[in-house]
Amino acid sequence: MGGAPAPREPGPGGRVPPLHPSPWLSSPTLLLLAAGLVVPLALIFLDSFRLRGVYGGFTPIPDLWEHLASGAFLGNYRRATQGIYLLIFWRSLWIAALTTALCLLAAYPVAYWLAVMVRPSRRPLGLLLVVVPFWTSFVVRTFAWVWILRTEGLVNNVLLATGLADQPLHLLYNPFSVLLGLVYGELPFMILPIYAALERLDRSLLEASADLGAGPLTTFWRVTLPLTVPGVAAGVILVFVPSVGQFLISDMLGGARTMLAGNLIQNQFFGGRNQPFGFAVSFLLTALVLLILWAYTRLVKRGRLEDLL
Amino acid sequence: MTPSGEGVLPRTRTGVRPAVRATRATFAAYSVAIYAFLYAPIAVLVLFSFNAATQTAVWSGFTLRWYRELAADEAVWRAAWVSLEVAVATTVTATALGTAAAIGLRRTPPLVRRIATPLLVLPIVLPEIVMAVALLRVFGASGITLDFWTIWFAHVVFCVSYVVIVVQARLAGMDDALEEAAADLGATRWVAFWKVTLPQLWPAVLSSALLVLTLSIDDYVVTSFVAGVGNTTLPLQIYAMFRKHITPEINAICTLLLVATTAMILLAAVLQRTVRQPRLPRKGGPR
Amino acid sequence: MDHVAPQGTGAAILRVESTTRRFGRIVAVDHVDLEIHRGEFFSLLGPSGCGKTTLLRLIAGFEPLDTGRILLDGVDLGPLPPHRRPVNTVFQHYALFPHLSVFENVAFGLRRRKTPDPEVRTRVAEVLALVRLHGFEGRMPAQLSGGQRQRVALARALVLKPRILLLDEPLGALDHQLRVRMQVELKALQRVCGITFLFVTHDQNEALAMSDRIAVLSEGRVVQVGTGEDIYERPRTEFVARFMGASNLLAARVHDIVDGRARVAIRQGPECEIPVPEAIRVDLDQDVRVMLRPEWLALSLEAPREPGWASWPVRVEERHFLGAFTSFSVSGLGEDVVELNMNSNGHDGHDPLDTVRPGDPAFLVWRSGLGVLLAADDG
Repeated sequence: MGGAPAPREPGPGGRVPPLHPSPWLSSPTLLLLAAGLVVPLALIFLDSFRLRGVYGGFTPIPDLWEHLASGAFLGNYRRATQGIYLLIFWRSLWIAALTTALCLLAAYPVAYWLAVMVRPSRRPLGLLLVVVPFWTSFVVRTFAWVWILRTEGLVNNVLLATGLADQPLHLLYNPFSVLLGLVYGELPFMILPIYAALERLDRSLLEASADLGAGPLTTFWRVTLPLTVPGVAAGVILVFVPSVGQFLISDMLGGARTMLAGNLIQNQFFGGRNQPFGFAVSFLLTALVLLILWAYTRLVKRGRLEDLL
Repeated sequence: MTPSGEGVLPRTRTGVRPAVRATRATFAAYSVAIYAFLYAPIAVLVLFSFNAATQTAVWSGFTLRWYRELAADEAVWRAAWVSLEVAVATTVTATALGTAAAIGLRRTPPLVRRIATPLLVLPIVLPEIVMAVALLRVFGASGITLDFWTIWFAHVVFCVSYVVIVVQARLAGMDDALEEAAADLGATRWVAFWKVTLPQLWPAVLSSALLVLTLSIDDYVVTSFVAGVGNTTLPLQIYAMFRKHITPEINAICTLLLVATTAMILLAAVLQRTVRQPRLPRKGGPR
Repeated sequence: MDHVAPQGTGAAILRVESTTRRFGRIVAVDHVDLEIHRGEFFSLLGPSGCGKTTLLRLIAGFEPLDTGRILLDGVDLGPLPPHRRPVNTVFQHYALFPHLSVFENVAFGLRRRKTPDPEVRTRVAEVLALVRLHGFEGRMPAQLSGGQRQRVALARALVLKPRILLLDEPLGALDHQLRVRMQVELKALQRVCGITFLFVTHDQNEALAMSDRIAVLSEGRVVQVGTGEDIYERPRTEFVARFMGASNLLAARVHDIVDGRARVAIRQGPECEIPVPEAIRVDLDQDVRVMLRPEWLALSLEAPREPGWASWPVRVEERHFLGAFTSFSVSGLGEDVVELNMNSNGHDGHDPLDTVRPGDPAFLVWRSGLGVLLAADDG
């Protein structure tokens, strides 16, 4: 290499040339997100105050001032917070919470086994095997459960064939099949963050705990668990939030009887029902999700969303 | 002894106390059961794609009939092709934009970061159905017909954040000193980027590209809202078949998808291994 | 478990009998026998990979034995898991619980024994005062310096009054000055508590500074056990000689053996009469090595005339002024260069040696009878 001049000497303007590529590189992406999300969201927010048209579109508002002053603009929101619809929100939250709890209980031992008991050289394989189902199509995996649980499905056939049942059981189209589908789909998202937290755990802390007289269970309760709380918290959020707003699983596995928030919204758009109402429900759902996230960041005492990532 | 408590020496199973061994065995058994839970539905699907019976899940003989029907099913292949086209277009766009964004955001004033972060997080926390609804409305309001490009746009919108996150994480772990060394040796910032930053960034870029590919191919909800007539993607097609008439042909599709995905993962793994070997300079001289 | 041992009674508190630990094909600890006396400060000394840490972990219970047994006060520790052994460990990187305060860290073991609260508070306060961390109860480990963390780790183990305290290179992460200070403190602490300390280190100076007795290990085996003086002045193998400090090893041949003393002829050197160590078998005409420490040698411009001195003409090759002393390398004795040190004495012109420069001739002088006989084919 020849004698290199110091490239960082001040140029004619008296400024030292920057070391890194320009921050403007991020503008296309940010603009895209603004145009693709912020603007549409603003639009539907405004639309959520409109009224439903005869053919499913919008009714023009005769008098804007009247519409605002009389409180009519809140019509959709008032409707969305009525009993039947509140029930749907509640059910969504409840199923999401159950899903999260089940995932947590099921995932922790697996994560523990992988991170603590499996030889380090074998761990990537174990992780890969957890993740591979995620790589297969989501519709496919949900469909698999339909195949298994329906009246002509695998479980019923086995039960009938072995004589354990006289009639096919109705295993599908109820909250339990939705729960099953959700747990099945979300489990890897609980396993991975807990695994990461356990893997980072300083093993000498576990030895120190034993050295000081704590048996295996006590060591787990007083040392391992407290130190893996961040991983557990991350897993909880990764499972809970998508579960509240999900659509496909309750659609394929839940049927009409288990309508959750996502299904309610979808209903307003296919079948020409009530778009503005759909927008209102969408916003309420979004508000709910954001509230949960805000509460989470408060709880974990970090206060910043970006720390989630 | 390393801080993680594992010595430099390999662990062996000799001489481990029986209680410890029993605990390990229990955990292993449980975990295997969970793995079985994860894979059983998929295995069942694959198995019954070869089943002769149409409706029921009773095994009535081996057949390749459904694969033959699948081969002749034009609608499915068209849908697969559309899915692939969308996915590739999305991957290229989202990866490029996202990587650029991650790099650009490396040294930003706090104000910019306070705007950028919520924007980037939004697609991830927002329920898909809300995103779908909003996009549909905005296309309708601006008179844009739903076609291939609306799908592509929607996919890029919800995928780009993942790229930014993955690449940002890699950037955060990189040593600044390397770029400073490059500058010290006479590299302009663009040369430094190409020769120093990007080579280190490749794994993150590739893995985020793979992630986007998966997300795009697999997407149902957003696509179902913004696809319009005649632009059915594979998930949409499978869903339609599922709603109309369940036959083992769907199982066959699923099996083929599985094979394709697994092949891709293996390919990625093989590529990773070849890419990892550094190419040593071929010089003569004393060793 | 609350039994405080009396000072250095010489009785064995820990017996390691023919203990082996293998990892695959590597034998980390190879049929080690060791006896540690009550109340003593005992060090396991050796280079990395010699098995000293593994041995410690075997005693603590973190590794299972492949052969042999370990007896504490006559009780076989084998079937006991670590949380039931009356031994405690100070870990190399301290292993303080990051989510617990200093107080809770130290109280951890006491709480496991269901010690009542008032007693916990008293004992924790006592031990924190002992390690001079009074007032630090509320701090979290992240807020402490390395030295402070080390003392918390110490306090945490000591508060449980173990029969034997295991220390795994606890001073390794400290900077030099702090390290030396802690060596003194640890030694004093051990005297005050009277607890038997088993200390692992790779630093021979550290071992010499603190230990009552030292075991030198190499490749999983105990090579020599004894006081610091024993090991330094009378090493049994070339390895121990080199490990404990600078040494000159000269090839020689045995000409005669009389009364436990051997008359050896140093190759390219004088004949000397030196004691035959008990552990070595020496025959006539055998090739051996004679070890001379640099500080036993002196340089002189003339051959000594009084009896009782051995000498040999040499040529000065190098000279380095190192402050408190000057180090010389000379050639002519034996096949290699010989190192020696001469204390500085003011350099005021009265010492003729001050003018000696590389290339000059001189005489290497040492007291007759000094020298350690070592086997020739040693590692």
